[in-house]
Amino acid sequence: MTVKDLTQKAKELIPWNWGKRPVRVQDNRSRRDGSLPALRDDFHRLFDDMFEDFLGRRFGEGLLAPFGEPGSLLDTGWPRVDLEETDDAFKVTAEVPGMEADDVEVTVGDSSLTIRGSKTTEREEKKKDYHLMETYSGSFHRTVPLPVEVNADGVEAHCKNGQLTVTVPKTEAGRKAAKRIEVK
Amino acid sequence: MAENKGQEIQKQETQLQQGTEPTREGRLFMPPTDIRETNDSIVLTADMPGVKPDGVDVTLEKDVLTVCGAVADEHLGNHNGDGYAEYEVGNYQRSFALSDEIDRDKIDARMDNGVLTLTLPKTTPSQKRIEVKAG
Repeated sequence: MTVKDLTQKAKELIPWNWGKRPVRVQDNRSRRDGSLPALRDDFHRLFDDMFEDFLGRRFGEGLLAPFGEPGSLLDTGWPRVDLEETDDAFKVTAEVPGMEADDVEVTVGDSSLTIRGSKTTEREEKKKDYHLMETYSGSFHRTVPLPVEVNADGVEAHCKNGQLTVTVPKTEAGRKAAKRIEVK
Repeated sequence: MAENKGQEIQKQETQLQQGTEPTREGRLFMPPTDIRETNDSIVLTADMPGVKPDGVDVTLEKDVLTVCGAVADEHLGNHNGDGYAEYEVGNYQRSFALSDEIDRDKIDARMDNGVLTLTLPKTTPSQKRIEVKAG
């Protein structure tokens, strides 16, 4: 059995939308000039795609998540998320270029913060007019675990210049959860 | 090829020409860009989250169009590397070579929600299409 057959077999075994991640739309046509390096790149891409399809996720992803669960922390999905913790609050920021406040929905649960949204562009219909396609679009869903009790009423979210900032204040109990240990 | 994969997920850094140095501190990223062609223009959209409209600088020198985006301080200060980080904040820069068909005087730039849209009108609108007949 050749490598190609194996790839095909592996692909058939996996549901096409396994892991339900937003699909990155990229047009590779511009790179295909038929030269030898281009061919080699194509081969490498095929190889990478095979592994990615097979695992359904990238290395290091889903370490905190149940198998196949979409968009959790440590899942290098889109949009990218930064999480910062201070004594009083958690601050979650995400890069959401092209999205307005109305396009993003933020929900806070007992132990997690979820960001949902969608970026709609006209490009899906007019794909053939594109020379280069590098940006992301589509809908997304990301969940960030919150390890201590938070004040859900005090959550503030701002979307400005394509940057989403969510500030989640901790409750009194949450603040006390972090105990300072004296180092002797 | 593993490196290529990483670049796709991570923000890609701009490769400066040899012998040049950035004049601003911080990292310099290459904004992901879409290039679309319409009948009378070429439309370029670049994702530069964190950049305000007044932080964008578009210059045209000879046939090279350069887009620079300075990230706003309010977004820059938030990232000190503590906690969990999937991305880093930095400035953006990318250059594009223009062909002769672009009308250089009528280039329009618009910045909205961290997305820069450049409209490059063609000098001769509506390309003539030659029908290819069989036989």
